[in-house]
This record gives sequence, structure tokens and C-alpha cells, in this order.
Amino acid sequence: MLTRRDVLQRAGTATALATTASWWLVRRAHAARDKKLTVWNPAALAPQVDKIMQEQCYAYLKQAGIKESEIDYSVIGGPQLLPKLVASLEAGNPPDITRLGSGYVQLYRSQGHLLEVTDIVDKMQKAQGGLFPISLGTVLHQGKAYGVPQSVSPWPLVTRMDILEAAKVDPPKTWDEFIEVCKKLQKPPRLTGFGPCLGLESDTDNNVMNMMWCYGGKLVEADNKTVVLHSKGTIAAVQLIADMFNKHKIIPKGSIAWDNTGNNKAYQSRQVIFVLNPTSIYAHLADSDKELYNVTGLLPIPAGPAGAIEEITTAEWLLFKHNPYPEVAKGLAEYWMAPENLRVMIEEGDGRWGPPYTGMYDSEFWKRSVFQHWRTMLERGQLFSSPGTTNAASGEVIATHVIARMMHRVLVESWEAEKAVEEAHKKVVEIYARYQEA
Amino acid sequence: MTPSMTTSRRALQTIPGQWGKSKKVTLSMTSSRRMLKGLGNVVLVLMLLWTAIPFYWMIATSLKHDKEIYGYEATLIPQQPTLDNYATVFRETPYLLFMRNSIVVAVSSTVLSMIIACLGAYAIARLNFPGRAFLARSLVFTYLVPTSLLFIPMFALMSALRLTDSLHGLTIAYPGFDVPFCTWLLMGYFKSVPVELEEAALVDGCNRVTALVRVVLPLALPALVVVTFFSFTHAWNEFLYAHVFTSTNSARTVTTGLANFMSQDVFFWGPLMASTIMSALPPVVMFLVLQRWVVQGLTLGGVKG
Amino acid sequence: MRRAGLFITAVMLSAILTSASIQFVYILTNGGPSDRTMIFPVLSYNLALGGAQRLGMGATVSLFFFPVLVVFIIFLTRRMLREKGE
Repeated sequence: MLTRRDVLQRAGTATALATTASWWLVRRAHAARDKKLTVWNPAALAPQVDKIMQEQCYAYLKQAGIKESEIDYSVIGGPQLLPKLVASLEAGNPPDITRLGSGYVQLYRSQGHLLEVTDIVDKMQKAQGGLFPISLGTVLHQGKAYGVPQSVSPWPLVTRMDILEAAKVDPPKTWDEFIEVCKKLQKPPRLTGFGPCLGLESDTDNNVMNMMWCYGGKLVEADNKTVVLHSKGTIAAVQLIADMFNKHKIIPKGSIAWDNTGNNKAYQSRQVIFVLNPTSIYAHLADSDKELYNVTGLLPIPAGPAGAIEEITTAEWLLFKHNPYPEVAKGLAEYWMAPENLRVMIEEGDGRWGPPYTGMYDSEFWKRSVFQHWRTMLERGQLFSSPGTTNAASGEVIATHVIARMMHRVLVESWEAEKAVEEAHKKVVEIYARYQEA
Repeated sequence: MTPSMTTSRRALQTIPGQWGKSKKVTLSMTSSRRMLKGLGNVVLVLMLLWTAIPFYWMIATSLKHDKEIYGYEATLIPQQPTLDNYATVFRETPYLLFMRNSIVVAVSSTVLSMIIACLGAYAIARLNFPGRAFLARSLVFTYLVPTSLLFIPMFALMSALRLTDSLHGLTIAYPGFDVPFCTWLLMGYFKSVPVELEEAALVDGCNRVTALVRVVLPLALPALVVVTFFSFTHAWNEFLYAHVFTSTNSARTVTTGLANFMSQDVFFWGPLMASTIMSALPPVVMFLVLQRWVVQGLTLGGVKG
Repeated sequence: MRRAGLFITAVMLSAILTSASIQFVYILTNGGPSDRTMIFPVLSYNLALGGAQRLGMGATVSLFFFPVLVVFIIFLTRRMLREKGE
């Protein structure tokens, strides 16, 4: 039986709840951000480097008079970074600074998310001989810089020199020699010859593209419009990998399911002889496995009919716009990239990356015999989209793993190499067409 | 595989009366019956192994050195057991923070779900109002629509309300899948409480709410325990919402926090297993404590048939 | 069999919950070599939050899966409520 008092009571409670709830929600929605700096530093796959970067960040804070509690510094695992970043951009609260590889600068610039940092890049150009053209090209758009170049990493052939020396075999100079060496030295199933990454990951796109260059294949011409994926060179390279996998059996079958750390793990567990990877493996071994570290060589890539060309990937610091304290983020980027600090990070980080300054390669660290081929690699190496530049379209080609899927068609679904290349070519044409206005 | 299936099966076997009732079988052990029982036992043992072996593997891996985990041969028993992995978890990851977040979110969302579910179940079971049948049906419907389809719109909603990357957001999102299930379970149970008791209470001067709290809930205690347990476990184990809605460590729960560290260190399986063992403990402990009521609650109030 | 009703309900319930569970496929194969073990929830997740970042496409994929689920759900709802004596 509802008395008047009951009704009034209930109406009163309901109104009170409704107003409190909406007030609370509105307050939340307009809450000002209290942190002065949000850093999302992707893990470097070499723990000592993560540590150094964090220490340097805190040193910068002290210098800038900011308390540690006023910032949020997170180290984020590789595959987590992108989904988190997408989610945060959608929600309108991206980090202030993060690090991503080539291609993403242009992708996010075209979506309007990035801070312009031409002043920092100009300062960097004046130090230590200036930046490599490859680094500069990645961040510039119509004369303005939208990212801070962080490193250049060639992808050498990481090799078990002890196995080669024990069998008195010379490092292979061509891909045919390479196949022979692998067949001779491998002892399946424990030790397999070649461990390229073949999962649906960016390492695969990079590895396959690298081998394509040696056979004359490429993604797009210098005008960034003409897609030339479908070519004899590409088909030959795809066929080469398929033969290595099926006929010569020098690639472990499990590589199809590897993620970006799969080839690292395989090499570090001593299960493969050769891996195509930037120096994340080498730097990690410095800390974790001195034995293997001492017998690891960084060789130039074997040559194909079109020559030997290494892959170079660059990394950049991306600074996002939705940031009430842009000066703090810019200051941190500058601090990290100041030559003295960079030198510490790279040399005590055991060469995880190469500095983007042309003049920093003359120190004792870089003169070591393991780095003897570094200069050559940096001089002849090129980016994923060469001779085109890295842009939003090439970023999406990597992000959607067009090349990796092409390899899977051949390796998993037994398609003809030509058919798979045609399909991939169509996909790339569609992607590039979509970005033509940008 | 829904939890209700395994426990109800076990329950049916431990309450002999129920099993025998509909089959009208005498209790003499004929050879065919013995064989059937033996077969049943074999199947049970297999299912036990199926569930227990991964758990054992987790424990074993968490006690092994890196070299053994990544070595060529997989070993069943750790050759040189070590507690290093556990130390790594605490030293290099903010594990305690993740634990705290998980506990806060699971407990608050469970409490919230329970309150809403009790009131809702009572209303549907006892009161008569327009749209009652529709509400009951839509409850079950909502429960069956999975989070893996809803996470995108939920995410859009959360971003608009600025509730991402916070424990508040998760606490509000979790009752979304807890409340329908809890309400449905409680609904069935409340119906089994005799109406006369409540009518007596009403005559004695209680209003509906007091009748619920004083008469029905104490009688429905087993069901309440079951519902609390499932709510808590579901919220504790939840991965997708926690992963999509949170970005910084301060809001991450135990399920998503460690996934983040997986590619940080190339050799992280040891610490990951160690943290998984530790994260699995709260629900397991809860179940061991509440076991008696869970089994009872499931069979007497749950799935009828 | 008198227990057939319970069996059918349990199987359908399990089928719905399993077909929509994203964790197992995501962890084990992430859609598998060449998308061979791909299921709708994983596809939706990868499209929405993966490399290409197309939230709209991800939502569309979810919507495509919905009708299949709805048929099962309606059927199952009726069964579950019938058993409750509704």
C-alpha cells in the first residue's frame, strides 16, 4: 500500500541519485589532467636499455624541476603499444611521447595528431655532423618535422660465427651459397639453418622485403604513386623463400607462427644459425648470455642477382598534440637525443640501435670488429618503401601485413608465387590510392 | 565449458538419492552397473587430468630456470627448482598494484551486481508488473550476448564518458555481464522459497524490502553464495574489457598487467607463470572455503530438470 | 531420454559462450597461419585495434556475427525460461 510518504520518499531518493550521478559524470568528463607528462616507452627488447632511458628521463625531470610523481612513465610491451595507442587516440587522451618505427610518423601526421617539432630537428642537424638523410626523410613533410629521429638500425645477418669457424666455412656471399652453407651446417631438428620471421608480424614484412631487394623487387617507385610490387624480382624472392621452406628445409616450420620476438628467441636458444634482425638480439645477449654474445657476428646480407642491400629501420619519438604541457615533452625528447646522453644509451646499451647522427660512428665502441660492416650497411641500406619515402600508405602496408600475408598464401595455402604476388600488388594499389589526397 | 556442467555432474553423484530417484534402480551391484560406474570413474579421472595438468605445468614452469624453459628438451619436473621467477615478478613489475586493482574492481563490481540482482530477482519472482515476462526474457538474452561483441560500443561509450583508464570505468562495466546471470540464477531460487513465509511476514507488518532481507535472503543463502562466487570469479578473470579500457599501469588489473610485459623480456615465461599462479589463488581459495554452499546452491536452486 | 532437455540446453549454452570467446584463439594462433583459424571476435578485435585501426570496420564485423547468435539466443532463452517454470 503506497502512502503519500512512500511516494515522496522514493521520488526524493531517485532525484538525489540522478543529480549526484550526472554531476559526478560531468565532473569526471571535465577533469583537468593532473600529470605533467605521460611517457609510453616501448620495451627495447634489451632490459639494460630500458633502464638507462628511464634513468635519463628522471635526470631530465630533476633538471627541469619536475617531481617524479607529476609524471606517468610506463614501459609497454611491443605488441601492446599499438592497440593501446589506437584506443587512447580514440578516447582523446594519447600519451605525450612515445616511440614508433618508420611509417607511423607520417600515418599519424596525416591524421592530425602530432606536434610540430621542427625546432628540435633543426638543432639536431647542427650537432655531430647532422642526421642521416634516411632519418630526416622519415620525419619531414613539406619542410616541417613531425617526429624526432631516434635511431637507425640496419638489419644485419646475425650469425653463429662459432659454427662457421668450427666447420671452416666462409660466410656466404650469395643466396645460393647461403642455402648450401645452411644445408651443410644444420642439424635438424635441434639446429636449423635460417630463422626469418614468417608470422603475421612486421618483422616478416621487413625480412621478405629485404630479400626481395636482392632480387630486384620493390614496393613503389620514387614518386610514391606507382606501385611496382608485381615484378619478376618479387616473384623470384618469394619463390626463393618457398624453396628454402619446402624444398631445402632450412627454415624451421614453426617460424610461420612467430611474432616479432620469435626469431630473437630462436637464436638465443641456439636453435638457428642465421637470423635477419636488428641488433636487439645482440644487445640482449650482452646482458643475458655472454658466451653467445662473443661468438655472434653481424654480417652483411648475402647478395642476389640485384646485389646486396640491407634493410634499415628508423625509429622516431612521436609527440602528440593533446597535451597541455608540450614544452615538457619536447624538453625530454631533446634531452634524450642530446649526443652525450645518446652516446651513453647506445654504448652502455650495447648497440641496441645506431645513433641517427652521422658523426657518432667514430668512437671506440663502433670501431669494434663486430661492427666492421656497419658503415657499409648504413650507406647502402634502405627503408621498407624505397625508393619511395615512408608515408601513411607504406605505414598501412606494414600495419596490415600485406607482404606477410602474401608469404602465408604461398607457404600455408600452397598458392603459386605469381598468384600471391598479384593479390598483394592489388592490395597495395588500393591502399596507396586511398592515401593519394594526403 | 560452463562451470555449472562440471559441478552439477559431480553433485549428482554425491547425492545418491537424486540419481536413483528417476531411474528406479535397486542398489544391488550387478556387473553391468559396476562396469558403467567404472567407465564413469575413468571419464572423471580423464577430466581431472585434463584440468589439472595445465595447472601443474604452470607451477613447474614457474619454478624452472630460463635455460630449462627454453632448452631443447621439455622437462616434466624442474631439474633445479628456483624461486627467481617469483622474485622477478615483484622486482620488475608493479604486481602488487595490479593485485590491488583487481581486488578493488572485483569486489566492488560484485557487491554492486549482488545488490541489483537481489532486488531485480525478487521483483521478477514475486511482484506483478507490466513487462515482467519481457524483462525476464531480455535478462537471459543480455547474458548470452558476449563481451567480445560488445567491447567496441562499450569502449566508445566509456571514452565519451571519460571513464577509460580508471577503476571506476571497469566497476561500472562489469555488472553489465554479471547482473543478468546473477538475476536469472536468483530468480529461479527465489521462486523455490515458499510464498507462505513471505505472506506471513507481510501480514506481520514488513514491507516488501524487509520481507526480502529478513525472510527470503537467509533462506536463499546457498544461491547467494554461488552467485557471489561466480560474479567475483568472472570479474577477476575478465580480460577483454580490462585490456581495451585501460592504458596505464595505475588502472591495470592482474589479467592485463602482465600480458603487457610479455615481450619486454624475451625470456619472460617463467615470471609470467609465477604471476599466473599467484593470480589464480584468490578465486581458488574462495572456492575451497565456499565449496559446500556452491554445490548445494547449484543443485537445489539452479538448473532444474 | 528424459535428460535430453538438460543436455540440449547445456550444449547450446556452451556453444554460444565458446563461439564468442576471444581469448583462446587470440593467444594460441591469433587467427592462425594465413587466417585459417580466424573467428569473428578475433577478426573484429584485430580490425578495430590492430595495425589498421579501423574501429568502424571492427564494429561492422561484430554486427555480422550478431544474427547467428540471436537465433541461438532466442531459442535458448525460451528453453531456459521454460525450465524455470516461467
